[in-house]
Amino acid sequence: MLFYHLIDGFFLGGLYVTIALGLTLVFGVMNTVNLAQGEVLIGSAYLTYTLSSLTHLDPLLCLLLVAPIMFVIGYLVQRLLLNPLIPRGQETLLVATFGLLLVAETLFGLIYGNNTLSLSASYTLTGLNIFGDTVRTVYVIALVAALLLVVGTHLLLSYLPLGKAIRAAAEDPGAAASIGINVPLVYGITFGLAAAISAVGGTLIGLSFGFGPTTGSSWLLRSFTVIVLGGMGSLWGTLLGGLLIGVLEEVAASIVGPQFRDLIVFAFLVIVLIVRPEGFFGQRVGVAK
Amino acid sequence: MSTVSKAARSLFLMAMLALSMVACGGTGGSGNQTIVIGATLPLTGSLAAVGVLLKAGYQAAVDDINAAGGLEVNGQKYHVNLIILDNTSDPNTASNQATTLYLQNNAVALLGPFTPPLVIPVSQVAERVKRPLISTTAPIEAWLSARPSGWQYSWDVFFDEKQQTSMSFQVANMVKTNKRVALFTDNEEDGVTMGKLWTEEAPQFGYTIAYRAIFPVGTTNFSSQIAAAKAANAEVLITQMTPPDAMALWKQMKALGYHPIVAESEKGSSTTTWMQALGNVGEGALIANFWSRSFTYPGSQELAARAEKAGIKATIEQAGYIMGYSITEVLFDAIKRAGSTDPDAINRAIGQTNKTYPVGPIHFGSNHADPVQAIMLQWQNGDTVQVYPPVSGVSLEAPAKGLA
Repeated sequence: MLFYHLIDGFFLGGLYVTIALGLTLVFGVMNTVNLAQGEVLIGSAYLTYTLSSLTHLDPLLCLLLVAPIMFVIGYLVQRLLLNPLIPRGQETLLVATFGLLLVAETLFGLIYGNNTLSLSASYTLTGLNIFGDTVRTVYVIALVAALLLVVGTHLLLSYLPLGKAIRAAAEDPGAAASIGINVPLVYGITFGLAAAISAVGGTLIGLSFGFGPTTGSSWLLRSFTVIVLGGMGSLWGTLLGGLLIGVLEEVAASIVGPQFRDLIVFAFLVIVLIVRPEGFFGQRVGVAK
Repeated sequence: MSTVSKAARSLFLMAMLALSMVACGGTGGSGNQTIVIGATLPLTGSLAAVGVLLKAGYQAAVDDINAAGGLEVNGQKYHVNLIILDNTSDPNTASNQATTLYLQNNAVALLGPFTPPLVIPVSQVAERVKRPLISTTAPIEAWLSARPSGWQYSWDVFFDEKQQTSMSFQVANMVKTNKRVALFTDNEEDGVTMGKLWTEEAPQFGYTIAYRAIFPVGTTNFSSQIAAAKAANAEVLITQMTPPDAMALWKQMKALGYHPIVAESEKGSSTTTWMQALGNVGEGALIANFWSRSFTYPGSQELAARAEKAGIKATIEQAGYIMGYSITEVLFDAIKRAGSTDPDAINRAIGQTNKTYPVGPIHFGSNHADPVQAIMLQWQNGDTVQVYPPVSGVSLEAPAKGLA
């Protein structure tokens, strides 16, 4: 039975990776915690819901349009709102993203109402047999998506000129600007990329569970736990952190009961932070390679 | 000339004073034409789906009394001003808003939000300021347990959990199962109380709680619990959890191949959101309620038709509207009986309530609660129908269709 819980947790962890990756990218490059990350996820779920309702296309197929839209929204938010605030320090950026969280929650409620919504697809109601355990198909999709996103982001940052510019801006914005890199543009693209990646996580949340205007906060907390555990701003740390949290949740729920699941997860987080304050991979995206 | 001017000035000042008294609303002395009543409701947030139904019911009752010329108190007609605030499903906000409604808006009484996490803090405010509150949809035992010394100014109209939990097994007895139960409850007040009662009641009906899951509100992943329920071979599923959590559970049960014969979703399936979010997967879920279309109490069917006209189409949602309307009428009747807007007099008059309203007979016990008769509804073809006590032309669908 424990083996089955390990399998369940491993695949659930894939979903956690997809929701936390956007937060990792923004922190790794801009050293900023985006408190509106939960709303980016839920906003993507709403957008997918709208498109899927209008076109009757599969929600995952809708991502082909939702991800670019989220990229543009993320880019504009960074260029028009957050970039001008950078000189005022991290606290101002934190407050600004918190403001975005509140604005987004209100907008979601006004546009979509306050009822819980859910994305429909046949694979949300089916399971796959993996080593004798039935795992939700959507969790399997989430793990595959997580691996693709982590590897893809790593390749982008390591080998493409844009990735090199992002890393340079992350490591030393001043030096990057002095060699001709347009740092505000790079920041805008990074925020846009993070939003586009989060569109995958948001759509998977919509497919796997339900979502409403205020559910973003709980996903922000989960994302934050993942990236703190893995190492703030580290891609591989996010992968490890997500999988670990998934496994820990499932095993804790099965051994001590689901009512103690959060207690166990956060106690583990505290212990890791005491022993290894920088998390498992304490290297930011830009510094990592 | 100066005498005329003085008199005119005095008259003007008196007129201004009278106008300001009317404008301020207030509890009303003998010259006041407005009575303020208030409600803090979850109109946004996780509980909004039911909050809007109560709001519509409260408002309809107030509109009706105002259209009839106002509320007659001691021979004088008062316009009723209903102030509704959105507590965003947050207990702290509900508590603050209740204080504001009583003390700043000068409400003579409040109509309640629903569910213990919101009703209890608002009830505590009512006790503090010593003004009445009539609530509904707060299971009685959970509500009573929050104040062991007893409520003085708060009143609750809902079913008693003991009767409700017994009914779960009476309904399960209508079909053949192995009498093994998987019980899922969250850690809110009603989840705790109901979970304990289901556990106590099960053996009396010959059932065994084969698996028990307790979890915090907001839990999204239930894989390990579903696996355990399957392993325990539980053919009867009983759940008490918030709608988002319940919907997540139902989707995952379907995906992981858990097929209970009887599946009850208390709280989770209380509005049409259930079917909108789950589609056919939500079919067959059972939920206790206090009203169905088979009820013929005076005004009941007319109110259901009005609710339908207002876009409230599902039976279970019309029940919320009718309950909201009924408890507002209870308050109006109490104010009339009190013959004044004095909160203590109104409070005493609420205690004397003994009348049949559109939702059914309402009569409070010495513990300030009115345990209405619980009935069991089942989601069938996108609407809820009464399956217990049995009514002609309707039968319990088992196995639960959506999870089969």
